[in-house]
Amino acid sequence: MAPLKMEEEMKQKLEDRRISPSADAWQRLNDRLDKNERPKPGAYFWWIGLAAACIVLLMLLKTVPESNHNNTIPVIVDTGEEQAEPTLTVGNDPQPSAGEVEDEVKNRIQVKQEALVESINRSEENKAGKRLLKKDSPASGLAQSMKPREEESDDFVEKNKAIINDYENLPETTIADNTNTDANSQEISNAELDDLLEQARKRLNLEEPLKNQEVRVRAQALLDDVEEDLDRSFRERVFKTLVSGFESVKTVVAERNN
Amino acid sequence: MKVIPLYKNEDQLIKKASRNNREAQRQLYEMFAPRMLSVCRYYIRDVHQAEEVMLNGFLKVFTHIRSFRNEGSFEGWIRRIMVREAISFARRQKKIEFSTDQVENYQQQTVDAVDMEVDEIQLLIDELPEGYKLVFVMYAIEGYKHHEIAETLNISVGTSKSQLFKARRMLQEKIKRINKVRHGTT
Repeated sequence: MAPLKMEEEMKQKLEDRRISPSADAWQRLNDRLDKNERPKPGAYFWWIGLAAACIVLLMLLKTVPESNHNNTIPVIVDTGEEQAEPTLTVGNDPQPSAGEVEDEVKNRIQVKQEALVESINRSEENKAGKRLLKKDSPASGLAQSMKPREEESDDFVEKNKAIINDYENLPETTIADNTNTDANSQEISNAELDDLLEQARKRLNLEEPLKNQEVRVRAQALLDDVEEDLDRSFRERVFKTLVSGFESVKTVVAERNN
Repeated sequence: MKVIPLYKNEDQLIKKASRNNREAQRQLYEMFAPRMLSVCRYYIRDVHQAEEVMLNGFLKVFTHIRSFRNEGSFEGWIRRIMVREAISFARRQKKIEFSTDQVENYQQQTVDAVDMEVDEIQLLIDELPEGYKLVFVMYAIEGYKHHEIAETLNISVGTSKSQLFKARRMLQEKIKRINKVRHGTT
């Protein structure tokens, strides 16, 4: 629609019109402008608090990874090696390990067993020596060899008695029935050996808890000390960062106000 | 006497006002307030309410003065803000209704020039229904296009054209009556 002449004239007259505002209009506008410029105290403090929180968070993020790198917590790892731990059992004589004790027991048993078997065999041979002489010619050699030992039979018995006594002196050892024939002697000796070994293990197991207790207590105490030191140092760092963050925020606010 | 071009003075004032210089803001207010109050008066019948709307407009001008990019005249930028404020006020005050009656024939009857004072013209405009008045003022006085009016008032272009036609018809009838009374002719 094309503008009409009437409208053109109306427009021209209205455009030329000026209406003076009231005298206090500027003052009212001035007050509104002042109100607009003044920041709200709540919002101001909120922004300051947010800025401070961001600074502290950034500093914490920066220091925590560094503390993790530098302060490696020592971990006590049980390597499974059977070795003595003299550093943890101060005041006690160093005791042999379970393996060594077991080996020693085995050796003693073996030696004793061999001696016992030998003595038994000799006594048996002495008894059977006469029969063998009649049946087998090779036994003659044996009979001949046994002959001079017959003279020493009393000594052999006495020695056997000593050996038996030694066995009896061993803690919780069981003496096998040595009167069995050769066919059962091997089994008995093995059983006896197993018993002795078992007893030795039990003995060692009884002793170990004592050792472990001492170790646990000492290790735990060490760990507690280390953790205390770590916490202290971490705490100190956190406090330092908080203080420095607060100081920097304070400076920023003071500069802004100036 | 040194003549300082007005536009340079205005630019300097605008720069100072953007830095919240109150004196510069006062000078800009005094430069443009009378014209802007007249603009607000196109839309608002009560001059005191029009003044209040004008002050709200200037508050927005000085708050957002940094967003003025020198792409057009500063006065044109202020004027657009004033028009938006006036329309918002009119919407809050009255429920503006736009007649959806479509006019088939938009042929206008020519009317002779009106020998009327500006106050009489303003009174004629004030008597128009709110919807007619807004569209007529924006199109005929402010120079907005129909699609701009439709976008601002959230109406269709057809409704904008319809409203303008009806406003013109109403004004023409009133002017004819006035001319008949004064001069004995239409």
